[in-house]
Amino acid sequence: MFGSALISGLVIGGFYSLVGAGLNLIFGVIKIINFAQGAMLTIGAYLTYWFVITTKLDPYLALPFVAITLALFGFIIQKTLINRVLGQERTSQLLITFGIALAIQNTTLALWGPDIRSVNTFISDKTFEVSGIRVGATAAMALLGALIVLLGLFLFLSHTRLGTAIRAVAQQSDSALLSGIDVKKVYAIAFALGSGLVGVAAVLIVPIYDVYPLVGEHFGIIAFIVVVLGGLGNIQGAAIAGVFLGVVQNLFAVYVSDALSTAILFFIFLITLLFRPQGIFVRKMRVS
Amino acid sequence: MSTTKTITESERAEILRPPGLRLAGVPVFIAMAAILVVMLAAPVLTDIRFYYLQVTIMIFFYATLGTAWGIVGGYCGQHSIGQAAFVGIGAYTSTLLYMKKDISPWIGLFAGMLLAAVVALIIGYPLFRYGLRGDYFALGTVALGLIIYELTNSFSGLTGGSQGIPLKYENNPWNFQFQDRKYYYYIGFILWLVTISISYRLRRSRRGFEMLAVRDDEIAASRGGISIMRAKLSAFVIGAVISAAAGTFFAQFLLFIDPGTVMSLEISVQVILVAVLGGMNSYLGGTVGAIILVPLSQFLSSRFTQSPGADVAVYGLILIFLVIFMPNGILGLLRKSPRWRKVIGW
Amino acid sequence: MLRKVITVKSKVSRIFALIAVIALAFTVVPSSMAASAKPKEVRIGLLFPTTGAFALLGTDQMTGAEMVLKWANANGGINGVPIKIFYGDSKSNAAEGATAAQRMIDNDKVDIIIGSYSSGIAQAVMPVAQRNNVILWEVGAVSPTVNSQGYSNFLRTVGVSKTYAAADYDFVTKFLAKKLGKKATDLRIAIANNNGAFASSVGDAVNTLFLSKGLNVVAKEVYPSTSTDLTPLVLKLKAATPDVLFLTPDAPDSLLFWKTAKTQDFNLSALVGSSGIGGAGFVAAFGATGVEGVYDVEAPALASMNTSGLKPRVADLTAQWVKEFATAMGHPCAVHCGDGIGGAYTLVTDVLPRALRSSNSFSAAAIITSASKTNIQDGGTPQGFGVQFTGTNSATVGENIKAKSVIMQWQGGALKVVWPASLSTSTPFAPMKTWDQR
Repeated sequence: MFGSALISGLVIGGFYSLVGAGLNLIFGVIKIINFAQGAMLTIGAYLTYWFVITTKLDPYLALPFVAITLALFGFIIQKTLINRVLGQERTSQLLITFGIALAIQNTTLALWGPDIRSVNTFISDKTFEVSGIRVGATAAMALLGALIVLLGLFLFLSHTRLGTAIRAVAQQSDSALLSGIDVKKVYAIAFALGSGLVGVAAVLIVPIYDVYPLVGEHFGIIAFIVVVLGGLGNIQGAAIAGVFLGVVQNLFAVYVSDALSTAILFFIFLITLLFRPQGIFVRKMRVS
Repeated sequence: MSTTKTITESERAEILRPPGLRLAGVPVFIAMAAILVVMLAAPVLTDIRFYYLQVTIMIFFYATLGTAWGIVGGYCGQHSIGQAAFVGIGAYTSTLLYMKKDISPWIGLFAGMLLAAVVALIIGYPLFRYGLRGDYFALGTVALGLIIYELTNSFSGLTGGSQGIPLKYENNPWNFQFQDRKYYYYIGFILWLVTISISYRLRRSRRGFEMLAVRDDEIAASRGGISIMRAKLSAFVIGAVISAAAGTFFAQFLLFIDPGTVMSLEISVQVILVAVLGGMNSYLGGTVGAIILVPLSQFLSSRFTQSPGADVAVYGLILIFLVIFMPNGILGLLRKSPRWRKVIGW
Repeated sequence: MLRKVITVKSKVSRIFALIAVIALAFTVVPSSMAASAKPKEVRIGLLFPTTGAFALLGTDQMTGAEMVLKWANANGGINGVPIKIFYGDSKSNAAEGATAAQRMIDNDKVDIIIGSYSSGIAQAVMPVAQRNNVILWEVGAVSPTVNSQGYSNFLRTVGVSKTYAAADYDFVTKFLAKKLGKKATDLRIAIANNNGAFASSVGDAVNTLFLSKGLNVVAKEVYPSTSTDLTPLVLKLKAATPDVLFLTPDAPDSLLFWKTAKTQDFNLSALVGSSGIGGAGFVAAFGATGVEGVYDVEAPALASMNTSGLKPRVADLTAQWVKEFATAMGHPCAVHCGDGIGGAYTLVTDVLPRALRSSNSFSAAAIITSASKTNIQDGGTPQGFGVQFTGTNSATVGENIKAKSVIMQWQGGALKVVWPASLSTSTPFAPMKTWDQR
């Protein structure tokens, strides 16, 4: 059972890293506590559903559509709403994302009702098994997607000009401004990109978690934990952090207490914020 | 070089003390007094429907919490998104003592406040020690709130878990219960008034001054000899204690508590909303915010009964609008005027 | 000076008013004692969570009740007295529920509140109803602690979590054990529930009853409703090798659980679920073969109940409402719709008419008196069970002692009532197919 628990922890950890990737850009670069993260994941789920219903294609094929739509949506939100509050208190920014979250969640509810909807893919029924340890094919696909996304993001951030600009803004936005980087444009791109990644995550996890108004909520908070544990803007850190959280959660659930298995994640979160806010999986850096 | 005049300690205090309501002028005073009198008299002299009193009680509740948040977030600049944890600590402490040990909730009230203070100290100390940047502190308080929520849910043997605890109703004033619910109105009124007074006096005290200094520029403040830890911690503890008191009050009013009702993240965010909307730097901020938001939410509910979700969606949109166009809150609009600035204590 | 004059004036006018009222009372009251005017209307409030986490099933309950109220109005009201319907949204939150209740009482002046779906909300609404002398007609909440304070204005038509446990026990001992070829006490039984209010009250009730009867409970697991992965739960349950699992999830967990069970090849002879397990989303996600054989314990899903066991008129009405609901809502009338319909039915066809006949009023006292005389036999309500309320001298005030939960089973893509036989539309089968066989 230990093997199964461990592997399942790795799997859910992979999901966590995936969901955290988008937030890494948004929180990491723009430094905004995005309460709407979960709501955007929910939109991605609904978009996937409608794509499948209209085109009758496999949900994975919805990926480009959902990613681009969410990226656009993120871009618009950033330009029209977030931009206006950038100079203000962090709390105002947080409140605006909360307002966005409320508006999104409840418009979804008002438009499509509270029913749970499912999508099936060509691999919904398949499972991989290795010496008694079983992983669903949809989960494996999501993991694969996570790997590609994280790798792609890492390469983008470290090897492209735009990526470097984003990293510069994330680390020291004042210096970035001084060295001629159009910080506002970087913000917009980061938000759009981050939202697009949320769309990717949504498509990958919808076959497992289905579609209903609160589907993104559970992952919204966990995305924050991943990002903080891994260090802002640090992709490898986020990957390790996600997996770490998943493994801890599932092993704790099996061997100690299932009922407290989400509480333990929040506890780790609090401890990290208290004693190592720059992230566990990162070299020591000043965070002030 | 000319000699500087030496001033006494009390003269110095007077110079430093921000001018208060005294400068507002007599008309303002009369207006405020009149409002207070109406609030006191209305429930007994008119045959007002209890529903409006209930809404007012909710306003008192959120105004108290909003004002408490204003001390932590507005004066001291520490934006906590976990006030609900302390509300819950207050509510559960007094309720559990009452239901399991037959201890009067009046005593439980203070027990809850004490426990909240202790928790605030224990969590606050490490949170403030490392000079966490604002949003990390906020996230830390979110984590705190979530942990306490999950713990309450899980240890159902002690806390009743997610099914909550209904309070036994004995109609005994010594047990903080009243047949005539108007009494809750008055207790809420007192709770609110006391909280505002605390905030007002704090603002004009040396401790408050230190908090503001820490908020505005930590480095300069510490160079000026102010203990940052003491300022932040006292703000955090005061905020926690007031929230716990409000929690006990709420439990006694509702006669039922469960984690979702007294310690959810939604409550924490509502509190911030109320404070920021009203104007977080003012001791009246929480009140103004509550006066607007509570009835607004009720109004939207009753308008949109046929399409569920629409009212909350509109609420979200209003929120966005307010944050963009009125980021300093409503009272913040007055901050440019020197006279009004002093009245609201900006 | 002006203020003093005004006060004196209002004082005088108050005294005048008082005298006038007393005079009027003397003239009016004696005559009204003899033949009080028939109430013009009865005002009923529907207070359910139509937004928030409980929106899905809360809306079903509300719509079911609303349909019956509208039907009553279309058919002469309560012996000629029309029903005025009011709506409130408790937003899946106890405090909002209490405030909405107060609003409906003060502004809408309702006589009765039909609610609440959630036990937490019911517990917050109850004191409000009691103090304002309004009845809380509970059709959905199942936690036994809802009226632990013994309020008199509480009347509940649906069965509490104990009835779930009773139905489960009945089913295990009278059917499952034999079908699976074991003695009841030899069956390996696992119980799992999430830590929400509904799920934990049912899970605990089942656990308590089973242990007291000496059944072999090999696992009792509680998982958080915020959980993103049910693999640990499934692994632990699998390790306990149960024959039968009694699972109480929420709507989304139900789907996640079943997917996880499939991935982990967790096989059972029988799964008795609740809530989402009996939902339309469940069969939509897995297809008919995917859910074949799974049981669900709850108040009956009206669409799949055997109405031949009901009194003819009730059967016809139920069939009509079931069709109406499906057309209006786009999904079948299942358990919660049934709660709404069944609860409202008893109110408008039995309790309210009797209150009108005997006391010519819809006051709380009149309704309680009427309810104390209610004695509907099994088969006389859309949900199949009868209605008889416990009185004030019992430990649990206002509960329907005839309320029952039934066992339903997914067969051929439809949820059919299979136990007890009187209400069943099909015979149950066991064991379930294993995952390989599906």
